[in-house]
Amino acid sequence: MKDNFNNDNLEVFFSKELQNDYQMDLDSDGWDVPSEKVWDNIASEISSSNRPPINLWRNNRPWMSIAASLLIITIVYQTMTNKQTINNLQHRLNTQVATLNEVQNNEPSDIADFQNSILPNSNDEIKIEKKSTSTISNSTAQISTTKNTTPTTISDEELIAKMTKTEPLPLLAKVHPVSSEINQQVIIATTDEKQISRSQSTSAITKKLESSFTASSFLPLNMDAKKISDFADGSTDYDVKGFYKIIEPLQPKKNRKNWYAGIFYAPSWFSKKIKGENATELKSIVDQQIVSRSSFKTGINIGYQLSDNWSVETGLALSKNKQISEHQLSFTYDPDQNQVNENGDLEAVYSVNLQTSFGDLPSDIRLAHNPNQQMEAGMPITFQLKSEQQLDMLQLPVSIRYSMGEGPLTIRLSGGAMANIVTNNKATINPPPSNYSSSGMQDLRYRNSKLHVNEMQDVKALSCSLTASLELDYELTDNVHLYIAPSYAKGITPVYEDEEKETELLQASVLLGLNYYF
Amino acid sequence: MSETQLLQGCLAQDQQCQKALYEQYKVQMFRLCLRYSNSRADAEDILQDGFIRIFSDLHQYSGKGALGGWIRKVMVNTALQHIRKNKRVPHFLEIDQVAELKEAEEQIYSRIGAKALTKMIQTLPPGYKMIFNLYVVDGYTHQEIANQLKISINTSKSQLSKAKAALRKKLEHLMVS
Repeated sequence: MKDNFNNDNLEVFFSKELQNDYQMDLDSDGWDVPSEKVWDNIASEISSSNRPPINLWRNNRPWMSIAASLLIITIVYQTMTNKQTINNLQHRLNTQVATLNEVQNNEPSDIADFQNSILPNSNDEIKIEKKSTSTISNSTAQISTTKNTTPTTISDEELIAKMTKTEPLPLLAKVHPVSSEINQQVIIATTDEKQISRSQSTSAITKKLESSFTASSFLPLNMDAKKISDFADGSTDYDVKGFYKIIEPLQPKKNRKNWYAGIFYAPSWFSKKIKGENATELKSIVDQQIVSRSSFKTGINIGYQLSDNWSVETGLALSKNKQISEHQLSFTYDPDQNQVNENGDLEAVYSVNLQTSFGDLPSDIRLAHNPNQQMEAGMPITFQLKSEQQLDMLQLPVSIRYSMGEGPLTIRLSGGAMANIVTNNKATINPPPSNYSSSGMQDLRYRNSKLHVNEMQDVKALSCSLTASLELDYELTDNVHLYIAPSYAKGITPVYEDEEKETELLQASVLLGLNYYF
Repeated sequence: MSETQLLQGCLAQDQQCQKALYEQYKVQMFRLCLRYSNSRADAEDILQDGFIRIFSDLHQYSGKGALGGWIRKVMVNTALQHIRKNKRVPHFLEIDQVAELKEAEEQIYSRIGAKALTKMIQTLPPGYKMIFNLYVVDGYTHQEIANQLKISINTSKSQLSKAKAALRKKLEHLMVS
């Protein structure tokens, strides 16, 4: 079959034959198939030098934020705890050295008199020797005698402490030398009192001491014991005397402050989970459109300590989320819609619908051109628009928190729920400059300088999220605490919903705040 | 595997997906490369460079419009760069006005085939070849060609006319033979 063609349809002929190259020739002899080495070269090139580094931060931003925050908190906590421990040890060591010096300087001049005054019925000659390194443990105590300067060990069942005073003395008392006694609480009495009224097992002493003090909070310099008498009930009285020095008094427990309130600021990162039949495709589209995101929240919180570890908290926060997207639009020129505008140009309005993760964004595009410009009906027109979407919300969180650790640094775990009330969901469309050249149609004009869309469609006024956070709290003063808390909120009801899809909000934040305890 | 999955795989540097994308488009892109080059070896060089660029710049594909169209555009740009790099930039003659060419109607067999037509285009002078390919086959406007090749619109139009005249002669010769 033969065709006729002239100068014009030669173009059509070539265009038709060659643009059709998306289809394979059935009778191809391989002329249009590249050799295997081409792919080999490409594969080798892209697998070596041109492979871009995997951007872990970009692909896993919420998890990486949380991991980074946890790492920072752990490092800070460990550093400060270690510093505090070292300071405590240094302080304790200094105190012990000072105490030893004090004991040495104030040792009674007549040990024998002291011994006799304490143990008037003693049958054995027991001389108290100062031993600066002797220790006491749960089950044993070290003593020494005049006959045998080598310390001997007796079991705690054999030791009974004499009470020297029924009325407790202040734990902060500095005494030397001292006796130990026990009643309902540890009592330290000076040897000047010399009142012996009751005895108890030193195992009880030891246990009580250890439960009230840390093992290193007192320094047993020496201890002597002497069996006095057996009683009918089977118990045995021993006299015990020795040198004890309180080197780190037990700190009185602070009264818990139940109420606290504070303020916080949190740079945030947000994303969305799209559900629906074409969720994956839509997410891919909107993700590729996104140019930038910015988000932060700030607010107040108020809490109540239920116990030393548990507390409940609520508050009010303003969360501002902004997203800028770039949309590639395409439609066909329709001269039937044209009207002459005030400049004498032909102008038409085209309706487009921008898809964003915050919802659909309908917009009217006005295009104008000089009537002398020849434009063909159906001509494809493409250009880019930038849209700025704002989603501001008031957030009402309720959470329960568990505290771990003592001292100025504590860690809190928190979990709860949050209501999100949308206060602003305006969107702005920023058109490209009017001489948009990449379309190749320089006479087309985008006439609107800026479009404001008051409301994105189908955005829910109220949505709910689940929240979780990890908080590092530092006690600046008795009343003021500084904290940093990475937190994560996952939407459980949609912030956007239409017939085909719904979107839930995911928000990761790092809260920096101050709490005041009343 | 859907195009979206293929795209995501390529973005994740999955070589199986990259190979699948290459296999899907290699024939049509190789035909394009053949049209812009003088030889099969040149065309394979362009194809190779083009796909390396496609895989490294794939994140710039916005998702709007067909992926094939984007790949085709990258490949055309690669071909033009290749021509420039190899200093085979054609000399374009500026003229003020393009005369309308009146040619007698010609008859050819309607089904010459892409292979023959491609070879025919390959034999054109470089300037004719580039503009004919860009305008007739790849759908560029004269304005876009002028911007791309840094020439005037009239030059583009004149080179196209001459290219068409040259091709018409080749078709005549083919018909006679």
